[in-house]
Amino acid sequence: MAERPDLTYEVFITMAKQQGFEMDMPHLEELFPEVKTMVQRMKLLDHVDTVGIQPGSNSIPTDTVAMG
Amino acid sequence: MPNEDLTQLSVSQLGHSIESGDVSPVDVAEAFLSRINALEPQLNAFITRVDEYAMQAARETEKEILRDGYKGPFHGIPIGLKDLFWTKGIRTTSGSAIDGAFVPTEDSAVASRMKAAGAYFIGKLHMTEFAFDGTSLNLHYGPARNPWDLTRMAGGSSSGPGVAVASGQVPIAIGTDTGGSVRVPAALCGITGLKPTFGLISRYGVTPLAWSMDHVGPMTRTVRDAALALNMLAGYDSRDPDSVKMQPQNYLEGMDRGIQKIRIGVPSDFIWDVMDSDVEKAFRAAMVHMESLGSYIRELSTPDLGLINSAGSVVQTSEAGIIYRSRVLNKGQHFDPVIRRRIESGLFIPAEAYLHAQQVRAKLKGLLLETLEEVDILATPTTAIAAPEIDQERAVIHGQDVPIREALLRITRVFSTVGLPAISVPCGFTEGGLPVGLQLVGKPFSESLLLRVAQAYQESTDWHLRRPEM
Repeated sequence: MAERPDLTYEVFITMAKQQGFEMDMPHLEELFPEVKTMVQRMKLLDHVDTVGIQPGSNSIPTDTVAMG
Repeated sequence: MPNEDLTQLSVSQLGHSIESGDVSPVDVAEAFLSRINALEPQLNAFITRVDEYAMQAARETEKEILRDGYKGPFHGIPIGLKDLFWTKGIRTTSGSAIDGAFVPTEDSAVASRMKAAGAYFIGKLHMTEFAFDGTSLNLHYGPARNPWDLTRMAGGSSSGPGVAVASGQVPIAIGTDTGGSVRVPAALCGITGLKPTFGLISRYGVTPLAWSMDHVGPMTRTVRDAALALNMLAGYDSRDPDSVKMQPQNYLEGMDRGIQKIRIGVPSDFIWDVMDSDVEKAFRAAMVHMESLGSYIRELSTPDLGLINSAGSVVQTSEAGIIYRSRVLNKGQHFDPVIRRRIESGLFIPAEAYLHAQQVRAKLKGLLLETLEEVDILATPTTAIAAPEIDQERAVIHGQDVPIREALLRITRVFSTVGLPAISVPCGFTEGGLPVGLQLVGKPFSESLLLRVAQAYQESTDWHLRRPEM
């Protein structure tokens, strides 16, 4: 997977507008580091090769596991 | 028996006393309500008290037993419910101000099953706002305090259940666990907390945090009580899309068979990257004890648990973002700003990143299940630290500066992400007198084995019998 770019404040503000956030700048300035942390987590995952893997949820088909 | 003593009993013991007629459901209700009255000003374990409702339910139960007979181990037992289980006619705040006046018109599946078993709820318990925090802080309702040290947090998000069970305000409580919210407060408060396999207990009528990671689980004094509760709560429910169809099981069966030749695996990495010395010492001693009971302990290399943790964080935050999107955008000022920002950050996760996190989750879950073929269960400390100070934001562990929430949730979140059953039982204390939790993790739907191993440990130790001085 291509390297995910770092999130700039300008891109963050654009995304916030698209999402319908009020342009409450003090709040958005506090939110920005939280979103950057989340982007770092996404970057960690970007290195994992998942070609051919179907996105999983948590459901476990009971007919594939032993009871008890 | 003096009323005060009743509050020190397990559900199993209370049930025997009610069945034999030694005590009545009204005696039991009076004892616990009296304990709640005495301790609540210090602990803050409840968001909503329902004393009159509980007394009335106890009186009706008493008549019912006299008229129709005793129907099982929960008949006449008061239960504390985390305040995100819908309770018909009784407000359900989910720890929020926004839902501060929300009164459900029907019961959650958990409340219905409790009532069918003859139990009643004795109060709606403290939790962090919309269950999105591992501490016991709540801006709207104040912090829940750890009964072992009132200056310390109880863990969350099922903070009230942890506090109320540990302090004897309730004999059992039901919580939810998305990243560790049953097991973390159980560990920090010195009680037993079980997170069953994903889908085993219905979440109908539970305020959601993350659809693909939310679990319901009992918080109890003993492993036996956790098994009793699972007997009561497990079962298919078409109203929960992730509910699994399985034959009903009796989780008490085989619990006392011991753990001769059971293979216990201890992950050799990730867990130990951030770990308090006292917690590790208690855990290592627990493994030596398990060996003395006849089990085999071995260290094993696991798939990258840190990546599972990160995938879980992305999935959980993204799902929480969409669940609460309109509320944070339109009524954001009514949220705790910390929780608000955490939810809002989920709105910046693109669809491709969410789906990729789900792919990573599927891949690593498969690898973890392969690893689990080498052993019967995994064992880890439940948390990397014991209960932090109420306002503590960070901890220095072996020179590493770690956010408190990370130290509390990093181990438990792994197993919520992959939906495996896990239980936390008390396994010792720090030098400062704070409880330490031992986490045992099983294969999907292996709750019987998990309970058996936890029971063998608990029956041969006395950590779970120690009580905070209140």
